Amino acid sequence: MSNVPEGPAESRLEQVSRILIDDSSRVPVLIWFTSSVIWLLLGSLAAMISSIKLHHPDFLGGIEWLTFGRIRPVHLDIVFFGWSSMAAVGALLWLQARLCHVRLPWPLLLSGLAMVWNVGVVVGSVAVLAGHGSSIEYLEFPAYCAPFFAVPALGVLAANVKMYLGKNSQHTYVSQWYLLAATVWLPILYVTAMLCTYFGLVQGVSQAITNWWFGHNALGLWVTPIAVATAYYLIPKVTGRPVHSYHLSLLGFWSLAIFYNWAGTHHLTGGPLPAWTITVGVVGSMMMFIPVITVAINHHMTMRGVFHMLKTSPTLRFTVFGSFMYTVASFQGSLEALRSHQEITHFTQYTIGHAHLGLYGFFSMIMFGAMYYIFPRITNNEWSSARLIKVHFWGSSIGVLAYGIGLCWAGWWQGLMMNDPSIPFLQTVEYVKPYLILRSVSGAGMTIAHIAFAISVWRILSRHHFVMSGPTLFTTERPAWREFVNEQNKREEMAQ
Amino acid sequence: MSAPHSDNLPDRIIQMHEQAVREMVEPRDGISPTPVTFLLMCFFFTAWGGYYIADNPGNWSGMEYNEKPATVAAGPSAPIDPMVMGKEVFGACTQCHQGDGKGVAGTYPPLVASDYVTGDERRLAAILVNGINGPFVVNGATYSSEMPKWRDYFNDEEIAAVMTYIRNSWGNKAPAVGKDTVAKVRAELADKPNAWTASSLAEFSAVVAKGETK
Repeated sequence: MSNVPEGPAESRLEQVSRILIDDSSRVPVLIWFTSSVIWLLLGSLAAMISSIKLHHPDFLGGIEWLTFGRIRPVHLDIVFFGWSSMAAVGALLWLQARLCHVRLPWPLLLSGLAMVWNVGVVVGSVAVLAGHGSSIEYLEFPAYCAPFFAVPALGVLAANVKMYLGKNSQHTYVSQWYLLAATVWLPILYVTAMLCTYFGLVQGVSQAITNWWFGHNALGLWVTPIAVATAYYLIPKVTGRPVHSYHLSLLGFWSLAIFYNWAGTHHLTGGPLPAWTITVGVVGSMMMFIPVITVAINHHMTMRGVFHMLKTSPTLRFTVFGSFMYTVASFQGSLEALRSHQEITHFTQYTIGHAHLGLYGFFSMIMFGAMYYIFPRITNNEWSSARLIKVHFWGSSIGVLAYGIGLCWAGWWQGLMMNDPSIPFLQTVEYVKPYLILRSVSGAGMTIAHIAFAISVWRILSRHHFVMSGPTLFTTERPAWREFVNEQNKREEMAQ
Repeated sequence: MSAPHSDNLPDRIIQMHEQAVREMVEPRDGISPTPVTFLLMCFFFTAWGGYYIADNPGNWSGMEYNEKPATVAAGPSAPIDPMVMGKEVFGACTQCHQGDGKGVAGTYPPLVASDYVTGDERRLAAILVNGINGPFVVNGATYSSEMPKWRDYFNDEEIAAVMTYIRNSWGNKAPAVGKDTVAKVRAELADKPNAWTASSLAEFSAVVAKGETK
């Protein structure tokens, strides 16, 4: 591999400015990303313990701190606050600085905020393990953890707004809308939900509504937009092709902003809520077909003709897998919201399968893709081993597919059996058990993948494996598509 | 590419940052038109959303939990079949006694072919009202589980209905129970809220039997 830059010609100035921008975001992004990878490992550990307990209830049964009612929320909160949110912030800061063509402001402050956030996750996890957690899903951390998340969220918002207001680019790219919106939505969601559920601003059923308004929007209006923004950046960036349609991007962004906020109440179907709130939630969920289809069309059409690049580029393979799973998991989620569907799948393994197809198959895979792209640029180092990346990809992708498909299948039949009063409850438990073992096995596959990823990250951070031989790709021969794409781009630029 | 070992600062920076330089251009927006089929689909979903909201509004009331509230017909309602009502109430019992009334061997006693069920109706009502703590013997086997009291959860009519249901299901055959019977037992036990034990229950049914022979 030569050091000759590939791709369309850029001015020396553009290249230098990009280098300076990446340099400014190095320390904060490294801290947010590295922390998230550590939380990913701990989250996987908590996941494995909870999963094994479901088919071997006596496993670690004597340890009070590791009972299912504590370790399962700890898994959820570590992967949400620790892994997902921290990875999302890292990607967000790096992307926004690049897209605004500005140096990242306040690098020291943003690094400090990452540590504050870390302290919040540590304190919250220990508190839940010690038995001080609440039963409010996604908000199990005690109320005194709130400032550890609210303050950094506001800091990230301020940095994001500052970058956007001082931007040196003429055009606002689609990713920037998503990134700005996500940082505005998170503090609103989190502070409102904490005030309503913990500090008694509302009472009774309204607390449950607020809980799921937060629980669902934290996924849909915080981590989802950041993952979509990342995919919107990486797919055209790696392939060198323009995003298919600006109009579709516009439609997709605003329909997400309008409809997602309503969808949360579908978690409470059948509960003691006024019926209209659930009706509105069902419609909000079904309308999500519109933004999801826009993203699906845009990403697919951008990839059309260059799908063979998936053989070569780790970043692209993870990102496109994630983008594809966004369509799958969202379609499934919209249909799952329907009352007729919930009658069967509510309170079954189906919901858990769906949650992992979304947060793992879609979000986490795109974040992996982003990290494979960003780490070499902020460390000036290369990934040490394509084999480790392969282990990561296949462990994660096969793991999450086996997990999602297995549990959705099991949950569907479990729901039908539970609806039949002539079938004793124990029989449904017996039926699900083999699938719970499958869940642990596929979880182990994902955990192995995460360990491979963590080794890669460790090696790229420690300079021992410093390599200067070009990018680490799945296939090593010089890809012929590069010439083809360069040719294409030149022709396009000539036409303009 | 620049000449090696250049003194030019930008050249030297670029040489040290191969990762950032080998990239493709920054992403650009294409301007392909929005597909017409997609727009039609948007209209379809919007229309469906409007229809669904109109069809399931639950009267737009904060007090209505059913998306399609049933309209209440005027006039007296038909009497409720105790077997139907009893089956519905029995849902609360299935966790222990199971849907087939056979219980769980060694843990929860069966309702099938049990004298407690098909025998004295006042004793059965007393168990339902106050609950019972083991150990006690049913059909020769000893059970040491605890049954909760149901006095706060079901009214007389519901307890009578579930009694009728279990006395006439799975091969059991015994007369139906009226709600007056339950009301009487409940009144007698108003100041005795403790769960029965095998001995106190036997005492109670002996007193009842004596009262009836008088």
